[in-house]
Amino acid sequence: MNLIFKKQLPRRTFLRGMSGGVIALPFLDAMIPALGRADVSKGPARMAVVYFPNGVQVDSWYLKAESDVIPLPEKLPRTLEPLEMYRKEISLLGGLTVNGGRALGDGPGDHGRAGASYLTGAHPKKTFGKDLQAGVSMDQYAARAVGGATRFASLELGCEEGIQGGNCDNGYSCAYSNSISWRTPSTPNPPEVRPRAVFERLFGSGDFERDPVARARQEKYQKSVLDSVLGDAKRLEGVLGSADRKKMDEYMYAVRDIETRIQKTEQQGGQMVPAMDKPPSSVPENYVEHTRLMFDLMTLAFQSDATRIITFMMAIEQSNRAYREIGIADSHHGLTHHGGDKVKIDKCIRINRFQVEQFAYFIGKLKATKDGDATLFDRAMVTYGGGLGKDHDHDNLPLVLTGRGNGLFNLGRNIKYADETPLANLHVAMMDQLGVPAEKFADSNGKLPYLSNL
Amino acid sequence: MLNEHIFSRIPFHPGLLLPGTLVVVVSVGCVSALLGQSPAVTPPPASAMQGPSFTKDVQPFLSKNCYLCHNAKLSTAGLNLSAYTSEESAAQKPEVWDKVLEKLNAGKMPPAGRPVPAKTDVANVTKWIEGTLARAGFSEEAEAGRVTARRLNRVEYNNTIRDLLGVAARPADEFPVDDSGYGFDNNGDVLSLSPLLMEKYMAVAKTISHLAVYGEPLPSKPTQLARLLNRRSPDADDVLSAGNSGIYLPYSLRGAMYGTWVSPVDAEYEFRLRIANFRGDSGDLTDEQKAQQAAERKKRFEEARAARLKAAAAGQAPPEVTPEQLKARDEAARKAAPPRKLILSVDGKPVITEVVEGDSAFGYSRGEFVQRVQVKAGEHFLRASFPELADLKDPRENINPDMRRALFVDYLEIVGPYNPSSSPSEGYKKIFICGHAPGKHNASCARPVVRNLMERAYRRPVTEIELASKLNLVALAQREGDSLEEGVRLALQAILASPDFLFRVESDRKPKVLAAVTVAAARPLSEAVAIPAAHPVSDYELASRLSYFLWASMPDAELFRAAKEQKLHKPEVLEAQVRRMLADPKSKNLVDSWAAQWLQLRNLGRTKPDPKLFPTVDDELLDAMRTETSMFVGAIIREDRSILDFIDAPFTFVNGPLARHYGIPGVNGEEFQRVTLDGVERGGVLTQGAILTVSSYPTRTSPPVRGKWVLENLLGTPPPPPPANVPSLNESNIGTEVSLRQRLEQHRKDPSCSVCHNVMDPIGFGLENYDAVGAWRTHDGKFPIETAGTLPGGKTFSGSQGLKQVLKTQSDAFVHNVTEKMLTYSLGRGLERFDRPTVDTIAKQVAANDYRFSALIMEVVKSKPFQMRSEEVAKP
Repeated sequence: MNLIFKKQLPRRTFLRGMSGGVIALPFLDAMIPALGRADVSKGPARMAVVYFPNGVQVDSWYLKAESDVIPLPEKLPRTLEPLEMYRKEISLLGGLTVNGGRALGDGPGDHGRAGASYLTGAHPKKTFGKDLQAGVSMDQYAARAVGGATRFASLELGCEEGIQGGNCDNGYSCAYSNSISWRTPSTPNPPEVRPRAVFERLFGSGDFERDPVARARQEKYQKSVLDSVLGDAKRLEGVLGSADRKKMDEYMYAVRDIETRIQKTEQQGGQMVPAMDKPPSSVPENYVEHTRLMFDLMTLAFQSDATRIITFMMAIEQSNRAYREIGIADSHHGLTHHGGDKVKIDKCIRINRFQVEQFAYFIGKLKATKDGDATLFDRAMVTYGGGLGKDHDHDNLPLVLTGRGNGLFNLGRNIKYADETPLANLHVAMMDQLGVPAEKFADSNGKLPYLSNL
Repeated sequence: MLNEHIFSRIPFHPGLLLPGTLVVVVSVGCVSALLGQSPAVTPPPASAMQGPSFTKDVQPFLSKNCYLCHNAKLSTAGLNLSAYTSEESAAQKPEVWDKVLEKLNAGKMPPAGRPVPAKTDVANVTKWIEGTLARAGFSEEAEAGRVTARRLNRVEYNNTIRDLLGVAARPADEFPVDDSGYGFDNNGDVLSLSPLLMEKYMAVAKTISHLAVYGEPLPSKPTQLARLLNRRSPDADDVLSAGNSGIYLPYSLRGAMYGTWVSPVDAEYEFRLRIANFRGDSGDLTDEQKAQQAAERKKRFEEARAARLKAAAAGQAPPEVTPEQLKARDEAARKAAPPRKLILSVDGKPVITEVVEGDSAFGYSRGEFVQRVQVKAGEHFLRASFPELADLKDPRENINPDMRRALFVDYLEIVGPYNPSSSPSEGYKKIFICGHAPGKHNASCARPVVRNLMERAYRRPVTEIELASKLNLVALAQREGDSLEEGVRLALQAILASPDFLFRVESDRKPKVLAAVTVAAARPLSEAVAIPAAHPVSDYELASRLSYFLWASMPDAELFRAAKEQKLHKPEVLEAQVRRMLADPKSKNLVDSWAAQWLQLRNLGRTKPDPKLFPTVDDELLDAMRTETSMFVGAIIREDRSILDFIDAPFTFVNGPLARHYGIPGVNGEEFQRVTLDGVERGGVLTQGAILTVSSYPTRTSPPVRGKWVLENLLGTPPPPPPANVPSLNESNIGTEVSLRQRLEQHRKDPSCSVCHNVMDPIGFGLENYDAVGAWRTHDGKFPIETAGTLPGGKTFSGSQGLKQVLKTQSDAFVHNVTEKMLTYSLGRGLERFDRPTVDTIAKQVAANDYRFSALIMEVVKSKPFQMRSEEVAKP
């Protein structure tokens, strides 16, 4: 970088006139603080939680280590092999537990509980859907605190459409296994799986009005429509019974959410258009293509500061997806009930490994993408994990940590925490770095140690 | 046998839910109950009352019919009926007897296969229970219940937009999946509204209002509107976006391509169809053979060229191929590739009809078939195929050794519009009812236009205040210098985003505080326990209840008229309307929404059969299975047949490929036709491919899963979830060293498994003659199929016919179950304890009316919960 401006340009700067389009420079060097040296610790912290379902096969995931904290060896267990090239840039965390995912007297239903407890730490209520009850998830807790700085407080994405149904797992509503992000204890945030839809949410559907007068009028209309429908909702709420009023509350919350976003977009200088092609309208069936598009979009969302918090589900919990891309026709979930069958175990490992391979692409992407004077990799905290360990257990959960979290994390370690250490302790540590004061979250009993300097 | 439980994701109806903390999971032979606290009031001994006695009547009955499972040792599903040894101890637990009563009344217990107890014995027991419950303060009266405001689900949204504005777009296809509860995705409590969905509602309100007012934005000159592509293989691998962007349609071994397309405007469109013809191609040859062929061809070519050059140099005409040579060449090509008819049809009408000859030019070289056709605006079904291939004995005859299809439709491009109609669209006329030409409206139009839009969109009259709020938007647009039309569009945008449109809200009377419902001891049966007051829903609300029930859409003009005249609630008007609505094509939504969810058809194809094991099952065949069951249910509705036909009926609908899949002779071609069945191998939903496939694994059948499917969906008695940590089924040598049946029998020796599996497995074995994709078989691997089974209690049966006979003896349970499903769907809420009398009444009436489908619909419509709404009882 050989050009230092005296003053910082606003983050959103548009180039106009190129083939009639509007091209945003997500982060020009010119927007970097005009300082001599970058201060890596100062920049917006970002967080992505990537979730994968159906647990892992223990021997192919965990390292056999003598002591609690060791540097990661060159050779990683089979499932994690795709991450070997990044072994200095990831840490493996073992021993973490989500107690809320356990039966605690409620009988079978580990998948439903695993999904809904992973980020909430709650013990979900067994129900077909009328009275869902989990908890507020960590990402949403953080989004409430810091989401105000960006257009989207958070994004919820995934690669598998949720299942419709009142009963997905032995009496647990499908809502529990469809979402890890919960805005309130009774409102899950269903992940968006369509790359095109994510793109249009972030950057508009392309009907950007260039004439400022016409644009101003459109915005005025938009606001009047929002006012008008809010008025309708208020009128209705006055005459409704309690269950119906709850529905109207949901409605008004959602409308206000849109209002806020419009305000923010205005404050930040209008809609932006990225230097990425619009994804195709259909959802890619090929898993590699689908995950890559989603990881690209996540990178873009961070890079354009559309959000700082993203949750992403590689597939829904208890997923029955068949990974024909690697020649596996059986349902993933079915295979995990392998009963010791070597062929099935091998297929489970191959699926887990295949997903890790896709995640490796995301790490590469973060490393290659600038975020101010650093890279997204330097800024972001990313976890890759699931709410099930071996055999549908809820302890010793598989977890990869990556991203330097603005310099917080020293990576390249295998850390085995004491058994029964709450996963919520990691949530507390991550929220802390996001600037969200949380002394305690769910069943946490401290902040997870060994992540930074020893 | 955890392995047999992995399909517990299939949504099911949980049975009746008791209010409050009493949650009951209904089951056969396995009643699981999470019992709440018993009421604090201790009822006095019943000996004071005349009537059946616990020790003399009830206990012997329980001992004979129930103790087998519900004893101290098994305590099946947490229920041990043998624990109650005296009148006093029994009366302590009214909630237990409440459950027993529900099972007995509905005929759900004793479970399928057990001897059916004498009616008089059952009557004595139920009478004793009713007395006990009455003394404990349990109400016997049906309540109307309260339905929570229902957000339109995706199907309803699309249909409503179509009927409200005449717009053919299917905007809701882009919305997130609706959650469903109690088996259906129209449940008011469960349908939530996330900010993400609201964003889409806002965006769609804008685009749809533009579409409705200004019509589809048409390109200035005809352009390519769609490119429909055929999948290259049954696997997803080949569907990569690189290069070929377009819409990929289902895979067909016979090379067919089909799907829907929405035409934006009445106009001419050009269909450009390209096929691939790899027949007679050398894909099956070895590399050496191919090289040799190429060398020979090259040699021939060189010789011919040399001959031509030589002739030219000599100033002679080039040598002609003799007619004999030509004929022989053609004949050889024809032999390798017989001529095949190719038809492209739009909504069933042929548009392109060609004969694809076998000639020496293979591959794609034939170019495109092009045809320009007049098409109306709206959704159309397109199909391009080679109909004769439907009659191939085995569809794999169309597969070359290199796995490529010999003949297939490659792509279809649609270019247009040519000469688009300039007259205002249907949608425009529905909006601008003042009848002026576009651009010629005057100020007085705004009021009636907007009022009409609002009343139809909100499905009720609107107040002046409501009307003013939207007229304000018209005025705003006009102040900004926009036209009146733009103003109306803006108002429409707000109407479509309004909660009054998105939710079906029903009005309440003022909530009032009822005196606390105290439970009095020793209340005589005749004295009604206070239940919340209820009022009939308004005629407009009734119109919406009817239309969303039978059509999954808004009321039409005639329903609105009947509501406006306040006649709809009159029994004769109501009945006439219901019959009219059932006869309307829109009642197909009962099949697509109600039946498809009840029978779990929507899960078909979610996990596809393994193409390696079932190479003849392609997407097209799965779609044919779906069509069969849809047409079958449609026939029951249209012909007003008995609902017992679901269990067994002497007819079904198949086309050539599906008939061959089933082994039904004499059916050819792609068209579906009704066939009469002798009932031996096929008849009823249980023998239909869609049901048999959806209750199987991708790789094999699972008798327990099928047994569970029957118990859950036909009898309404789902087995409880398996205990934790049951071992998996060893599958390694099934079919080679041991049969699936033997393995399962070994497996369920554990008594904790056998309680439920003794019911589930025999039912499933009765269907073992149908493989995991519903084809008939006599062997599984090297083992002959055995379908005989013994149900707990000694009842034996064999095969699907025997199973159907068993189910017919359970017709009470079946009718109760179908009634519950229909009532749940019609109301959009889960059923409560207080709905039991309603269900009982409907079920009785249905039976009294020869089980006719229309009786079921009519009784649901006439029922208290459908007609009325309870007041909200404020908690004191």
